[in-house]
Amino acid sequence: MTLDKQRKGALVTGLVLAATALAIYLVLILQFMR
Amino acid sequence: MSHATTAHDHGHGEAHDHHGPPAGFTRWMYTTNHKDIGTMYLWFSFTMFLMGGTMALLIRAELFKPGLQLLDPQFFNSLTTIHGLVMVFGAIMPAFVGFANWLIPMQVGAADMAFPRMNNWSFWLLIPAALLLISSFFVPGGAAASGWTLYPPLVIQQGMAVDMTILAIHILGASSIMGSINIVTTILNMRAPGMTLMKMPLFVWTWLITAYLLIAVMPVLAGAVTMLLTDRHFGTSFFNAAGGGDPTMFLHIFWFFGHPEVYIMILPAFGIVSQIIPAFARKPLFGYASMVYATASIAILSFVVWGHHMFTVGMPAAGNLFFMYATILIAVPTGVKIFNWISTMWRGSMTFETPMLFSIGFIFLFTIGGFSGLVLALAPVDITLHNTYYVVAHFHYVLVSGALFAIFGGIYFWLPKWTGHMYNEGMGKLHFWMSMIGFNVAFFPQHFLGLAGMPRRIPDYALQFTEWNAISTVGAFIFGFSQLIFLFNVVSCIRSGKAAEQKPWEAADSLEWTHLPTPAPYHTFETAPVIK
Repeated sequence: MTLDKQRKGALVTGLVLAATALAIYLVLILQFMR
Repeated sequence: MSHATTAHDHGHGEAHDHHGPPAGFTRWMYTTNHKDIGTMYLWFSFTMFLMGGTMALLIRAELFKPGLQLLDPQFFNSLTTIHGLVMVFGAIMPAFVGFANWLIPMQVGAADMAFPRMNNWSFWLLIPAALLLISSFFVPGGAAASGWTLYPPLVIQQGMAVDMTILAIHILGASSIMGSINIVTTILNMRAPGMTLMKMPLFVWTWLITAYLLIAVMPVLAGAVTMLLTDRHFGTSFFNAAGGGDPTMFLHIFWFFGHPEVYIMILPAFGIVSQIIPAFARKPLFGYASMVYATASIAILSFVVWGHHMFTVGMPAAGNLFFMYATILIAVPTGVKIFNWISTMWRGSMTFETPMLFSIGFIFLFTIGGFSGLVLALAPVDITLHNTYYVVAHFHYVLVSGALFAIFGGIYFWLPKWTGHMYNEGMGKLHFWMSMIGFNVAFFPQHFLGLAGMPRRIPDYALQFTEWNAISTVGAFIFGFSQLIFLFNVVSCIRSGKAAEQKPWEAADSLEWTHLPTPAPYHTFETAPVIK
């Protein structure tokens, strides 16, 4: 695996995980807003 | 010009090859080095451990005899609350993140964590959060006094300290999530060639699963406390019954976070113990694959057992039954782990240096904590024992003699690799035995107190509980002060310990022992090793 490919992979993994955390936070609050 | 360029290149190349840390405070402020950040996490955690421990000793001093001696009851409640929060979020979790920082890159053959700058930020966020928590004692009304679980409606009625606590939890959550993203990414994307997932040391596996748990549940806690904040200040009624909200809903959301949180604090401990026991039994870990699957099973089950923290809240019987059986099911993968550790030791060529003592102490006492957990998992029994000292005894057996003993064992195990010096073995053993005796004297009697009906989080008690409370307090002080032996041992190891051999534990077999010198250089694996 070249370094660039590795960095790209790391960035994608990191962003997916961050988006997951943010989505859980928002969905939890939004579903209790009524 | 060409001469100058050559000289520059040469100088730069050499500086790069032998690159050490910069000097002074800026080294720590701006560092992106996983070892520096790991060290800071560990010292931060120890500082918070001493603060939380001081609070615990104040609580135990008040409970030495019945009646009110030392503390105002409101302050007592603040102490139990902040003691819990400080120990969970300030001491245990950062200690494991410290281990993760130090060890994961070295154990998977990576040069550093995947996002070194974010790593720096994750650590430095802890400082304002800790300051908020501790300084909340000094605002009008005193620190949050609702217990670390922050249940409404009480928490909606308290003063500004609760807002400080909520902000601190948000910051700590952000720090944990960033740390976890770093850990997952490092493990998934930065492994050396040939380091397949099933070749990774157990510590790395347990942290991979823990980091996923953290990413899943820290936003849930953040959401819960955000809703508390808006209930307090922005006119919402998520949990405020007066406005049509449901306080019980907070319990569900909190414990949906809270139970996986318990495993977040114990899975890395399993990982540490799984590294130490094979090294001192001089045998490979028994049942490596089953350890991985058991860890994953425990993590998955942790999402469906939250109701066992709230059997008395008035759920339907079917709900209580579901949570009861699901909880009991966790004993199966946990039992697999205990069995594997014991099988690893079976007919091993064992020696009993301090890390091994703490690991064996861990197995013995964590199993007691696990069994009292099974007792509490039985809904009909729990309805009697809920909010008694039996619960306090149970979770201290899991978190002190579980998580904390593994942390101590891990520190003694890796100190030679981290510092290049050996700790004092005699002092390490003294620390272990004093901790073992002090801990059991402090917490075993609390089972009796709980069974006899003594409620927790109350600064006074009925006369019949006096003797065991006095004994418990004596044990707590023995345990507390024996940690000074640990501090002295670590500091004297760093400053003047005798030089460690290249591989002080002959059977340790992960990359940091087999592929790197002792002490580990500032930069490691700039060229990834190839794992066969």
